Amino acid sequence: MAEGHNLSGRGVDRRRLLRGLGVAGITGVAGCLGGNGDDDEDSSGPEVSDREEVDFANLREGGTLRGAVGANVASFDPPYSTDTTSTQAQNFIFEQLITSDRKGNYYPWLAESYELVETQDIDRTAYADYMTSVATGEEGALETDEQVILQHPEDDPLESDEVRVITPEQAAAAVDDGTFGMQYRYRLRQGVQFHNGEELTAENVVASVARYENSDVSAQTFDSLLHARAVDEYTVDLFAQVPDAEAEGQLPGVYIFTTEQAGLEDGAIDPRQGNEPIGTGPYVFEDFSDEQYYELSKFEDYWVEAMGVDSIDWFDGPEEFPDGPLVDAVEMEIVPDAANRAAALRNDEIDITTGLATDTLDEFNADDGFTVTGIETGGYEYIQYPVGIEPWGDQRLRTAVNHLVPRENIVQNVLNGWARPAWTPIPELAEESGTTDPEALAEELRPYNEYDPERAGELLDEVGEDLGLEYPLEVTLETNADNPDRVQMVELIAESMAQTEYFETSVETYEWNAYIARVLDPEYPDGGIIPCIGLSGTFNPESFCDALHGSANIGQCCNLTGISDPEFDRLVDAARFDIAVVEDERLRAERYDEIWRLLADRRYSSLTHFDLMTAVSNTDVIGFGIYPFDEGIYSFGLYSPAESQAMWLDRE
Amino acid sequence: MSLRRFVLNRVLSIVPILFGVSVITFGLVHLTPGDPISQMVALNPEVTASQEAQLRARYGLDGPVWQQYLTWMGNVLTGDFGTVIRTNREVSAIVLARLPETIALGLFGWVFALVIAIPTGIYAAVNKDAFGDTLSRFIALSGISIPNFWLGLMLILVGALWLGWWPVLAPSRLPLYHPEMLWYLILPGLTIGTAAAASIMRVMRTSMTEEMNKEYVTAARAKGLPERQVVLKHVLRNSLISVVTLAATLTAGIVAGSVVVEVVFNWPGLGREFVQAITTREVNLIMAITLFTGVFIILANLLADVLYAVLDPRIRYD
Repeated sequence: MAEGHNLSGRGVDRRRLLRGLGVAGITGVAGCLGGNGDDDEDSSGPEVSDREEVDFANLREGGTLRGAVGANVASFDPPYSTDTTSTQAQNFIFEQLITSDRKGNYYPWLAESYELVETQDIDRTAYADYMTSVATGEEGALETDEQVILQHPEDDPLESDEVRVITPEQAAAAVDDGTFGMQYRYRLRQGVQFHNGEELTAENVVASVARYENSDVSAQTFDSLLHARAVDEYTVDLFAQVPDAEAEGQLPGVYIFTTEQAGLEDGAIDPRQGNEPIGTGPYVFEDFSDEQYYELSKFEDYWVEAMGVDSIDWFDGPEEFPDGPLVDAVEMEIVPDAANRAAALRNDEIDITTGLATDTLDEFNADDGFTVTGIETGGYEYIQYPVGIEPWGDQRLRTAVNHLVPRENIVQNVLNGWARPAWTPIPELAEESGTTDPEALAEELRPYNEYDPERAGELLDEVGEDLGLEYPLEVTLETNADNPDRVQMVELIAESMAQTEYFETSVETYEWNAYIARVLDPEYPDGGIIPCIGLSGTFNPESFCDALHGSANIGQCCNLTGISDPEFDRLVDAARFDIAVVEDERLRAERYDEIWRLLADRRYSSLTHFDLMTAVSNTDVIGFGIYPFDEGIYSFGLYSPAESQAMWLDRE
Repeated sequence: MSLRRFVLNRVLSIVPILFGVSVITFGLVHLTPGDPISQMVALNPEVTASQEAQLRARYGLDGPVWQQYLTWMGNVLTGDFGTVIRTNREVSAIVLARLPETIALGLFGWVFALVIAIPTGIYAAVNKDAFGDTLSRFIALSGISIPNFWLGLMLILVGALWLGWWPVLAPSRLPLYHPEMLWYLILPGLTIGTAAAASIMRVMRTSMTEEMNKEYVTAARAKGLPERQVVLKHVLRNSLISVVTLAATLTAGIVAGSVVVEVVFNWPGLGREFVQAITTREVNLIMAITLFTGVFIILANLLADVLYAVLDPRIRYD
């Protein structure tokens, strides 16, 4: 049930809100982590580093890293788990054909090298001749047990009794005939061993891709991938459906399994199902106690160690950089409560953890016995305007409210500086392909996003006069109750709106499950409500705009208020699935710049801030460097030649 | 009515009670918005509406509630409690794995409550209105008033962080039957048993005080029986009747309280699993834990009734 309270009356923490709103000349706290130059000048946020500088000449081997994670490992089976904690555990054990550094640059990994063989200028209608029809059930479910690789773009399962689709077999036939968007060729490293001694071959890759069919993550796997084919024992081709500027990172995004594990039933790669996970990764699964802990030990025959890190041709790290991870074993406790994790860290029961509350981070940051490491991540939060309900269809009204979003106060007073105001819609990690000039973009768009009640007032007067509006407008903002920071943020925005006297605002909060069921309801956009939610993007700039505004995501994640803008849809498609942007990265960045400008102008949503990924460790942990996505934090921190990252333990 | 018939009747009455509990719980869970599929797709822009519908159909979440209930009930009657969608693990395996943890914690709390409450209650009744009695009543009132989660947090703060005598995290690598576990059960056991101890102590004191004012006590004293014998042999036995009834009732509280205590102490029992199941809307797991808890509470009450009669043979089973 909703917990409502009206901000025009009492019921909010006024002292806290006033502390935020009353600060004259709102102070900036932007970009203090990760070195985003522009915003550092006015930063008053916490000063932490994304990585501890170390001298590898002093490295120490051995020891057990004791960590704590916030949730149980739902499954060790990569295609059958969608939660972060599971992926975190899997990343110790399984590897992929490529790896990436913290900026999203890709490097060959299990593949010794890879190349783009061919790109063809086709769209998805090119597969019409290979398609078969499948019936659709209620709510548009396709009545087939086979993986639908792609569906004819002109068919709508919600409006038709049948749709045309391609299944794996037909995809293979299309590839046979030379119908595909892109062809990438991967040459595997020879001599890479799985933990059970099996050697990695191209067949492992093909079988692993097949294992992703109809899995829990098949949607994101086959949104681009068409087919996998072994060329010879150590060469494999991956085909994309259409030209895809993200293909380099997207196509090889599967974990590679042993022959036996690739053939197991859905979700069966799990100790609870009697099958211990076996990969090629640096750590071997040792033990798992459901809801309690998991343990790993170093893989003695790890291929990097066996071949030497210098055998990786792109490696350009220091001479002393180790050939494998330095820590002998990893013990991860499963501790859902963040306060318990913090207490366990203080009590020396664990060495490292993540996901602590911002005030706890402040305490650890002020304590010499601990190190807080932080980096700007892809996580962001946004409010979205009910564009289909008048008067919200008027762009000026939305722009006015956007000028009332106190981004700096949110970051400073709600998040204690552990975030960066979203002056542009893309974080640092997606800037490379997402804009031609990050500084120019920030300079251009920041005025659109500044807290400016005066400008808001002008716009509101203008809209009021043109549309004959009677102020104050009644507005409800809502979010999930189990995220106190987010609730305070929404309250702050609501209070900021109410203070103008143009709005009478109220905030409603719902338990997370109730909230997501609510916002994903197809009728939600008709409610005239301003929802707030958080999302995590990727290195792909598309993830910071399409989910929110793409018309295909209405009623899904996460176009919550039914935004439908054909021009936006066309631009987003053209910035990724177009041979021109595949061949010209600069053009791609230009197209994204166009998207950011369009969004700034039409103002369907207001991004508030970008999250900072943080980890807290004790001083036994030396050289820890943080990765911008939760699922890679520990595997990256322990060993990653892509950035000469390796940590060790300084204790007896 | 004979004791055997009484027990048989009560056992049979479990069936409609559990049926009612299952219908209400199933209905409530389904009235609450959200299911595991909506969580899986909630933050994943790549999942389309038809893929979501397909997932829901795969896990049997697409039919009307009554149909889902009948399917679930049919499976339960054959001993199949279903699987957890997120982990594909058998629900019965999870419950059986977690049950001993909760029983150990509850038992420890229960024993703690009785061991503390009964002697204190006797002492308070015998020394009515003395300083010790006032102190014990103050402590009892505090015990009832303090919320479990707060007491637990304070015990962690003092016992683990300040004194360093206990770990913050439950010792997950020690088997439950290991003697060392007794030490680690102290803080959560104390947390879970405090409120029960306070309640039992108050009832014990009141009951003892009432009994001690009765004529048979005066007669016993007049016969020259030592006070110790009067109190422990005659008064205590009669006073225990109400305490036993209360203790059984408190079993429900201890079981329910385990939810909070297990979360606070990261104790891997059914309570923590239940919270997780609610968070992720794993209906099969919620239902199974609810039913197990229901059976446990009903059996505890049955045991109380039987003990009640054993302690006082005048009581009839009707």
